Amino acid sequence: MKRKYTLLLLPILSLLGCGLYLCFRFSSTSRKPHFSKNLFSATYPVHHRFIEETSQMRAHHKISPENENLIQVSTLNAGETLGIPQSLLWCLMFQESRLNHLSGLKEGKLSTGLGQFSVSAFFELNHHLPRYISAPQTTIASILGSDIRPLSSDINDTSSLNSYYFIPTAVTATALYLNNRWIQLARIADDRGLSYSPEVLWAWAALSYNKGGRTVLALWNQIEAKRGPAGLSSALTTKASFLSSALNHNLVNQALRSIWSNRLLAGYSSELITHVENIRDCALNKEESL
Amino acid sequence: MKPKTLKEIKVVALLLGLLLVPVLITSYVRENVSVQTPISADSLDELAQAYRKSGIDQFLSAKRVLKKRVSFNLRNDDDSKAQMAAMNIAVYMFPELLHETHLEKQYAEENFKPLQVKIESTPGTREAQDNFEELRNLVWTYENPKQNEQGLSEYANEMLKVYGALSWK
Repeated sequence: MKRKYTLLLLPILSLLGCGLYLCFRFSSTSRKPHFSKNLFSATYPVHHRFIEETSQMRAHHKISPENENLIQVSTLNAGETLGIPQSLLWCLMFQESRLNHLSGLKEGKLSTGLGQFSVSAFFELNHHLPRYISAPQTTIASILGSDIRPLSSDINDTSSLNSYYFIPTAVTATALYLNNRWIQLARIADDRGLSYSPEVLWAWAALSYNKGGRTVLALWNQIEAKRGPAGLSSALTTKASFLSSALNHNLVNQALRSIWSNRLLAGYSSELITHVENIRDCALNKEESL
Repeated sequence: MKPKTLKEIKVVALLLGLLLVPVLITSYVRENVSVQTPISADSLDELAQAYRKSGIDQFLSAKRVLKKRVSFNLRNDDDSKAQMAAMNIAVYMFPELLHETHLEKQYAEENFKPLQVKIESTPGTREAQDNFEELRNLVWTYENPKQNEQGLSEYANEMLKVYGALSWK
């Protein structure tokens, strides 16, 4: 009788153990909240200036209902899979290309498409994804049905599934590149033992997407130099502190002076601040609720 | 031993000693003057020149000297311009010299440094060129992901010129 109970208990205990292991493993590796309802708005764009602009774009046929819908659905899919706030992803693409998936192609620009990908972005997606996510093939397949790499920038074939100028692929690639920026910053913050809000870190990741990781780290170094580690942690934790840092002209200028010559400094600083204002007005909730 | 021979040995030793002292003093002063010389982005160009003129060994030797200069200038609070230059060179060449709290240290150590070491170990090969391509893309993503007309900082540019020279010669 005793032996019978033991035999019955063993598989139950094993299953319980597996469940506990998976639970702990999941909670320790997945630090990103799936969908932010606090910092990032559920509806977007938030500010009336962007609402007005999108209405104008529709009225002047600058974006077709089909493409707009495809961008919306693709943003939802990629955002949910990667844990990216959808408003941020949509607003980033809006800011980069005004949702024109062929942006910059005719003009032969160096960065093109929905997320304004350059050669280095293509390189990262095609060669460096394993540095950021453990199973790139599975992740991409869960969004697009299959691993579409190598991502192509061939302008003569814009409708194939691996083309960056095919909307679902473009949105997914943009999301992956933004996700890489978040992971890069999170690793540095973790390594330094800085506390941060995963949501606020997404806003910093959007800056890194547009202006490069070095700009963000220079700004973080400057914040720490001026306000100490607690001040830096605050800028990584609250919306108010993030905005007061990233919109502070003096702070931004001092930070970027360490990288750029005086000739380029003013232009770079004002571009960065405009980018922060656009993210704030397009993607963030008006009310501070963190 | 004959007293004459002993005397000759003493004279030779004295002459050698007299010769050695100024040589040692000059060497010491030269090294310290060199270490304390202010640095700029041009200091990286000197590395590329060293490689082109005399090959990898001379390059590595010049790099060691530059490292000492960067280390000195990082702590040189009297010259903020040289300190800034040292910080930028350290990010792209010697991240291990950066202070532990410097937030670029980890990224530079994990991303730029390993590729540079690989290029230095097999200069002028296809492998070095592949590693350079990777390094170049990482730097663009880090500084100017849009690759617009702003370009790269002069320190990033100079570092890429150095490793470009090593990869393609």
